[in-house]
Amino acid sequence: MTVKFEEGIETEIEVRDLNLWYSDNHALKNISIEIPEKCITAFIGPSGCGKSTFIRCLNRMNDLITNCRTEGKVLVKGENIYEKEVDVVNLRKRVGMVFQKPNPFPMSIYENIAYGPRIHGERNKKKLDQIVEETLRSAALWDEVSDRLNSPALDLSGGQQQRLCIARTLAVKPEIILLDEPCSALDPISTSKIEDLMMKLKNNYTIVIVTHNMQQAARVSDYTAYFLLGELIEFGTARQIFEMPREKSTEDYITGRFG
Amino acid sequence: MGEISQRTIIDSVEALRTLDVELAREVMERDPVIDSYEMQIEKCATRLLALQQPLARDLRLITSSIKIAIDLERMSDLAANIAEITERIEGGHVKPLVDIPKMAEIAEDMVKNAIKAFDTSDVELAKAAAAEDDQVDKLFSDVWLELIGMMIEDPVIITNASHLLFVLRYLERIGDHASNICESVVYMVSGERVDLN
Repeated sequence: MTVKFEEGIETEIEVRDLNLWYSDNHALKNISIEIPEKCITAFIGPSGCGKSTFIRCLNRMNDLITNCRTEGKVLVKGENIYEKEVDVVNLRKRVGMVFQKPNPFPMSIYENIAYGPRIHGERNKKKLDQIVEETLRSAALWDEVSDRLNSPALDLSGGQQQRLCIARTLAVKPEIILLDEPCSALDPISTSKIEDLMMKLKNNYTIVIVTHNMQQAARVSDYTAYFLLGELIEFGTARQIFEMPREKSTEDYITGRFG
Repeated sequence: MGEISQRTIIDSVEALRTLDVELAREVMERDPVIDSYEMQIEKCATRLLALQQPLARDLRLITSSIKIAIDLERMSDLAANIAEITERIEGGHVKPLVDIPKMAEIAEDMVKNAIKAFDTSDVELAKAAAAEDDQVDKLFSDVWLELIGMMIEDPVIITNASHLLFVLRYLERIGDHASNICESVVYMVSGERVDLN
């Protein structure tokens, strides 16, 4: 499904005829979509519609699930990430992911950020210090933690932990950030901080977010895709989807008539 | 609210035509009633927006309702202004009022159809109702020129005739508000923003 993007915006991820099965369960059916660069694209739909499964296809997180079989193509900047020779670790460096529940490593704040660059080969302490500061600043967390970088990350509040996870993703310089319901475990203040952060990050990164919060999708996303029973039903600008959806099923879902 | 507003337009002009001060006062007394309807609609809409965060057709229905209530309230203000003029006319009209009541009838018909279009989500009816505004505008400029001509010929009538110029202007504005309601109906039903004025 394609949408005419605003002028000057190119396609970052192109998905062609993607099908996915968990054993016999056909969880994604012929999904084709083009996701624009440096924009926020939201996936919405009722529980079990396949939106989380789909976002996990974009950096091959589903490879980790037994009995999961995928067919079709996912092209990131034109390159099919499902080719055999693709280095999955490197792919996940390019396409970072943040999950519903903040999951900092049981280490210090500093080590959480330095961990990624270090396993990708960065050993220089000064360089690591610089990455930690830069990414914590980008994630709007620096001012809150700069005086306690060596404290355990798990001592942070939920909202701070989630921003730390975003910072950890940024530390390895990704091109795309996938957020799977990043605010559903957070209070409204922390949610609003994450939303502000997303708006800032979209200047430099392509952001894809799965959210159950319709108002959040309407507030932050530039483009919105609606999924139902494993199918992509409608894709359009957020304004079009939330103001005048074309499909009745989209309308029924976003106005709370089912789902 | 729509029904009272329609009746107010007709009654205000009838009071003026027959110089019925009693009816004029009754029209003016309706104004606070209409204001309270508008306030009620606004309160209800604000509450729905705050508590339900509506989207798509629900959102369009609520934003359109707020706008329509404002247009109806403004129309009623203008009708009250016409009623007020009834008390200011001294010694009878400069000419029998024929076209001014006709303008009021058309405006009332526009409001009636606009409200019906709102009730039945009928875009075509809304567009047809808005198209009637051309007749109101035509009568406005015809009668305006006629009154100016009469004033040039006989300056004695200037005071009463200029009151009628205001009435013309108020009726023309009522027609515009009716068109606005039609635009809101089109948006509510189709999501399309149109200019029907």
